[in-house]
Amino acid sequence: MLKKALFFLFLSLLILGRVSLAEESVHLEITGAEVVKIPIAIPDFEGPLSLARTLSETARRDLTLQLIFNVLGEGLSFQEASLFSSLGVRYLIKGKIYQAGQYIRTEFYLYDISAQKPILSRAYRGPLASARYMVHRFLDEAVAKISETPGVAFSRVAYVRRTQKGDQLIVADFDGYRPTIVAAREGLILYPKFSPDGKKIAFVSYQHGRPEVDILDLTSGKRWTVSQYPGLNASPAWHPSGKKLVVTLSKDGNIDLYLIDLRGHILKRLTHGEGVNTGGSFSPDGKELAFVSDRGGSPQIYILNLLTGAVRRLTFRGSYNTSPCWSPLGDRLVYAGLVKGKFQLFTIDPNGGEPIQITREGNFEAPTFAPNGRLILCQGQNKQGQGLFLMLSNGAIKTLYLRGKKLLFPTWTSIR
Amino acid sequence: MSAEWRKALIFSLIFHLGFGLGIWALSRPISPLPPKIVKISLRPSPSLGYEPVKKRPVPVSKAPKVSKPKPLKKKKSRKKTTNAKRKRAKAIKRKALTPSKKVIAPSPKLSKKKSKSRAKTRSSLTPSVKEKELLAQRIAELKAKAEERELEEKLAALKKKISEKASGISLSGQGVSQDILAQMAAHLKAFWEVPVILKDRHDLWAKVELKISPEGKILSWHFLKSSGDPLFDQAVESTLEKANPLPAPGKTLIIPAIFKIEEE
Repeated sequence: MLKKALFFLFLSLLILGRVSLAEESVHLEITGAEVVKIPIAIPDFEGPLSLARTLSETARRDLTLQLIFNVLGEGLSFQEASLFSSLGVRYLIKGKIYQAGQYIRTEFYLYDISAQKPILSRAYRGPLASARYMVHRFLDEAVAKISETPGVAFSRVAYVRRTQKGDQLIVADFDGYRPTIVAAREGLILYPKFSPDGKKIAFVSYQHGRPEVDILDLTSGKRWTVSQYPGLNASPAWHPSGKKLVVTLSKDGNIDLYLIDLRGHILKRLTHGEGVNTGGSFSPDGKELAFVSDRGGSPQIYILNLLTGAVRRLTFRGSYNTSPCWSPLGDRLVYAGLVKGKFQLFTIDPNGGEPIQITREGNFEAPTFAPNGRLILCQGQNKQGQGLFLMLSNGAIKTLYLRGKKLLFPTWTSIR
Repeated sequence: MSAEWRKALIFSLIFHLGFGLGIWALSRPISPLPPKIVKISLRPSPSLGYEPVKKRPVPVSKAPKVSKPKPLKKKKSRKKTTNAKRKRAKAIKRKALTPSKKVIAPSPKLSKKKSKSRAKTRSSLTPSVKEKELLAQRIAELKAKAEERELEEKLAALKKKISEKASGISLSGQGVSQDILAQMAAHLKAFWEVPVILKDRHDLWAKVELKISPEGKILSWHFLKSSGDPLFDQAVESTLEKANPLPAPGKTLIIPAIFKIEEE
């Protein structure tokens, strides 16, 4: 009897709780968002016709390459802006160019159409040759204004082109302007990596018939060899300070990672014969190094803590994971993993957890993060073709950035 | 000895629980009627669907339709209100599962029966009764009528809620048919888009509170919970801008809305 009473009391309390919960949940729930590119209009800039047209095209290409914008406005003038708002365009970029001989002055404005006023305005002046960099600069700021993360228009990429006469190392602006061969005719070139400040490139060269790690200073053109040990010299990875490199050497018998300075002195041996250890990428704070090791039986990504020397395994899925690259934001690592005989790209939290597969068809390798952490550049091929691919770090959009049969090892840096 | 001790403990436990419950139950009927808002109930007449909502004035105690308009004593009229409220509570509960129309028309039979049993309950609670008696009665009732309790409890919760929000504007869809809410959600969804960079960010969600005019215009809104991602919050903002005005609820409405990227 008592028990019964208790039971009913309990029951009523339970019901009371449930009911109040139900009351709380009356709300509108909006789900199933449509994923869209942000519409933005860049009507032709005002100014000397051909220059203004070139620069407005540069601006449109810059924004298109950010992959998150739907860029409109080609062939239209700013006065037709009302048209854009009726198209649902939220942002509008206006430019004015004044030319005096070899010097120009530019003014750029970013409008929020709904606010009817510029939310960003900038003016630049300089030699004619710098005009497109004025555009890059402004657009990177505009992208930051719109999407909280600066753009990558003002950045530079390097990659290897494999030709019958040997490999070429090419450096170009991110929008593809002015590709420059900085090293060629020397057999294989592998793993070029921009220094953190973007002024040097470290890479593996076979110019003397065997591998060596070289550094090329892009501002002075000076080039020197930092690692030329017997056996393997491979996979340079810059420390964020720009004063140290990690390289893969086999001089002591096993393939291991070594920390060296820019003159080639070995500062520290980082791994000690636990299987093969190669390839690396530093965390943005320089405290950790992601690398590939087969110590567990198959190539997987491991993280080495440089302060404590502790090593932890990061990837457990798949039988072959390689080419880790740490996001400049520090929040993700991208790597290539073998799936059904082809390499696909994955990103993973450096602290561990489930990887996210960002490519599903085709074959993609050697991924590198954009300086803003939002885009990934890699070599590969899919239905669109073969060459260097540009994609959002979530894999939502992929585009063939540069078409070519043998374009390899992209590396990317900001030159801001 | 120990058995006695346990008995005593259990008895005291029940006694205290029952006592507390009795006090609580006692205090309920005595408490002043909650603001008239209660009445708001969106009880559109069955024939009209949610249309009539617009016309519905918000008079206090005119419980439409509830029972015969016999003139009653004060006490009785109060019971009626309660009855109406109870129906509302029921209706609200059912709403989740069934189309609103069905909910709206309570069978007169049912309501009569309810009001009877209700009257009984109330009489047992008059302050003049001694506490102990009250307790015993209460427990007996509980045993006998667990269901009845459930109803009462719901009612109490409802009352509490209403009295909390005595702003003259009904909250959280109360008084607005589920249909209209669904229409609003569908309308917002048609405009709900996020930048491609946020694809797969299923961890993101935001909650906003909308104040909507009877004509459906969004009078004001603010974040109750930001998603933490500026792009996502911007997308919510621009969706609200584009979706304005919403389907007309027929009355001023303050309602929370949750935005998520993925399909539920």
